[in-house]
Amino acid sequence: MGNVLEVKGIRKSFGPVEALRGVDLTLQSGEVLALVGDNGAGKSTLIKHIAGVYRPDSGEIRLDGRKLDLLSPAAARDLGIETVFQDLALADDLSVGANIFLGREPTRRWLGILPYIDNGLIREETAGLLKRLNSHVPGKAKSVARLSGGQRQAVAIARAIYWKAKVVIMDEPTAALAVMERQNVIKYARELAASGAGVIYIGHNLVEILDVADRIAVMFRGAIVHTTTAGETSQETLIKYMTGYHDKQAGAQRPEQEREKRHV
Amino acid sequence: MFRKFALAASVTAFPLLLATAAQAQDTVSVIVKATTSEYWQWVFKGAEQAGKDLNLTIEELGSPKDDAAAQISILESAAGKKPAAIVISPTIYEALGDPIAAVTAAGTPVIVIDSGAKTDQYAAFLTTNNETGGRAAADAMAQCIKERTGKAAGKVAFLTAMAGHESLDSRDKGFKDGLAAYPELTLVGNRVANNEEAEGMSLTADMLTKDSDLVGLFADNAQMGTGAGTAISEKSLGDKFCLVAFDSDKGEVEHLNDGSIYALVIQDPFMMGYAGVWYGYAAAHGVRLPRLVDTGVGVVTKANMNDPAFAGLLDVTKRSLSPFTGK
Amino acid sequence: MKDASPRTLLHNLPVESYVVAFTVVLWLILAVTAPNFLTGDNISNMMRQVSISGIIAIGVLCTIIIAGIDLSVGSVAAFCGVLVAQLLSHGLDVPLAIVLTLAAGILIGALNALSVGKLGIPAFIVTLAGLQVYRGLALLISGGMTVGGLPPGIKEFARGSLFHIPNLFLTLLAVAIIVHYFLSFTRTGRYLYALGSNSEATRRLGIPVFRITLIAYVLCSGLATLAGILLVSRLSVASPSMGNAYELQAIAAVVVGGASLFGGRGTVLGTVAGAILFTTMSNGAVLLDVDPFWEMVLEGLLIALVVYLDNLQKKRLSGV
Repeated sequence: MGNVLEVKGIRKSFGPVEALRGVDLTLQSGEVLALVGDNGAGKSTLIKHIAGVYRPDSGEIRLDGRKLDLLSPAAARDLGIETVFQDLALADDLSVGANIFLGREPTRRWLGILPYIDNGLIREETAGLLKRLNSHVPGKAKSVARLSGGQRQAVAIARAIYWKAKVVIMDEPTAALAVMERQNVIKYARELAASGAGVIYIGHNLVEILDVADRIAVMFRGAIVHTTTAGETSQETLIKYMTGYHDKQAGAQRPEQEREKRHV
Repeated sequence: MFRKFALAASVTAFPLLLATAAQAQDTVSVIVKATTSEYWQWVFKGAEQAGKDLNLTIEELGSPKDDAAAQISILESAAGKKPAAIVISPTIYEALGDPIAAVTAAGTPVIVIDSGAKTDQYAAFLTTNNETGGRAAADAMAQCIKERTGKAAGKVAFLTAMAGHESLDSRDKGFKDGLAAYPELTLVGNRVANNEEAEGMSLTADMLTKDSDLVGLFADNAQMGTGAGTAISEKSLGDKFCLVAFDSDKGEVEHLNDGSIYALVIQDPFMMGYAGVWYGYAAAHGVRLPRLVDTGVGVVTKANMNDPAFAGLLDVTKRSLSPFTGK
Repeated sequence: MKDASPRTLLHNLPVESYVVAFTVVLWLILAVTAPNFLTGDNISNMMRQVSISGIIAIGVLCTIIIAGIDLSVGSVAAFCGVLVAQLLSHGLDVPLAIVLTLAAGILIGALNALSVGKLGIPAFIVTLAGLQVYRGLALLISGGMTVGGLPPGIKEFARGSLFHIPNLFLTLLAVAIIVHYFLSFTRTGRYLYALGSNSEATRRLGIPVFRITLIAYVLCSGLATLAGILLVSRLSVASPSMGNAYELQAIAAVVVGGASLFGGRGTVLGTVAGAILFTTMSNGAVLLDVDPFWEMVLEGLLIALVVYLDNLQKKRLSGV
């Protein structure tokens, strides 16, 4: 499959702080790309560019080969870039279905005049989605407030699947979850990729990362310093890059690393 | 009836003061109970007239609703500006006693109007005797019932605007005392509203539901009078029911006119404001004042409402009175 | 999924079930104990009494759903009531005076929304200021006096009825149906709940958050304005002291009706039931000659009890 997302030479400074120093990244449809790095490495800044929250100082982002301009979060979502945030963008008091369809509710008209939300359609589609995710989410629950963290992830992911997102950003989706539920989320991420989306998965737990990801990109101080496939790396290697230890080693490694980066 | 002209006798020294009045632009602060009520606006109108006559600056103060704590703050900040005198109508008898005594002790003469406060440290107290007013209401109600049914007998009730207000409590007490003279009138109910017209209206309707043979109701201020009058007018009971209310705002006067209210017990708020300022000014210049002055109450019915004596009392815009200067 | 379990059944009980149950029980008790309670006259009285407070409460509900509040409704009702009376007493046509007054009310709502949504001032503060400002304006434009001398047509509306149902109550029903449709069946209505539930998420989904805030506050002030005009019709005069403490009655009705002050929850049905409950209590207190001070205590305890039961239900269902 081809590249769904291309990030080229993104730079961003906040005052004197250079948060991104020329980041290149590609994402293919149907793959899970894990983005790892220590706190402050620039992961959040990078994904906020992709999600349309920030605009780069220089560089460009292409979706399906088309350059994204003057992006807002709403515009990004309309184009098919969906974000599953750390703190979960669910409205607690709304039902599962209302959350999946929030902002894009299907409507019908009474007597061809008075519009109303088509709750029947929402219920039907929701049941189908939850079944597909095999998620044990009570689809008829009146509000998502009482769902567990994993179930809430399932709802957010169902939203991305239903709306056929091209790129889904999962920002530390397992941070607050129990061990069993982490397994489910990994399953959902794979399901999402299987549905044809390109998934960017941000996490800290390297065991989990090695389990879920097809490829892994390591960020350090505002740049991607290492990219590899999950099968060809190890926790030790990843930690070496995440901590910047590779920097202190022989200068000979640097060109190799630069070359690698260009291939991303 | 009105004894306001008795005021004139006690102020023989005033013409002397008038000579000096033109020189200094002294300030007299007038603090009312609630600026949202027409009654207190009439007090302000009287005070303004006195301000014109005496060439004084009148500072009109008060919280929108009857709020004792707010009134104490207003009194304290007004006193801080050292006006020539302060005219105040205390919201709550107990609460305003010490603050008024403190202002007097600091050297600013205080004239208490309308309602009392728990202190004797004031220059003068100008008031309607509210109990007398309540008794007058009972008499008017008995007369009305007698006119319509042949004898003063049946169930009556009263509507209190707010709980714990000295002047309202006095009116209610006067009404109950007054009823004692009519053994065949039985008091069957009392409701307390939130000093809001629509609530007075609802309570009146509900009291009529409870006792469909109710023959008379006493509403103890303007808001209650307007509300109760509207309820009676809505049910077209004006010619059967005897509603007597205190004060005389536009709503009440309309209902007096359309027959829903039989009688209004009226005070003279304009005179309270007017005389209050005069007294304050006199006290500031060392004139000895009578401690207690009754500004009087009157009873207006549809029969006598067009009497010229009541014209300026029912509608302040018709008031041309400046009793001391004759202007 | 265990949809049929008693737990899920309870879970699916509408939030307003407690207030409806309380009202029904109270009606039954009064029907037995107060001989004049179930008379046509008394019911028609209660319908009139609940209408104005019910309309205000429905407006306040909209602001509470978005996790806001509007404390200014009583003052806005007084201000707009005095305004419409002044316009009428200056000889304006009734429809024109009403349209101008409604426009003023909508402007007040827009100002509240701007202060909350654009300047970021807490709604509590903005509308607390409004509580003072509009009461002050009511006093200013009336000179502190009752405004009378209105055209007779004005009071006819509040006194009239259609098929024995008072016009005022029909107005409440119309408002309730329209707002219920808006909140439950339209996308914008659903976004009110989303905004009150999770404002950050709503923003991230690209829902125009300010527009939703604007709609909620304009609805609230607009309905308070309508209530003010109806008050004038009912009293046939306008007084600057009208609508005193209506904001508290409205909030009480909304909360007892199952809404959450933290936003995201609340229905028109519950709110109207809450308003009916308080009107019934007040009516019943007069009919049974309950001491007026005890009546206040009972109403306060009722608010506490209903909200407590509602919370209890939620806790039990979340398995805590």
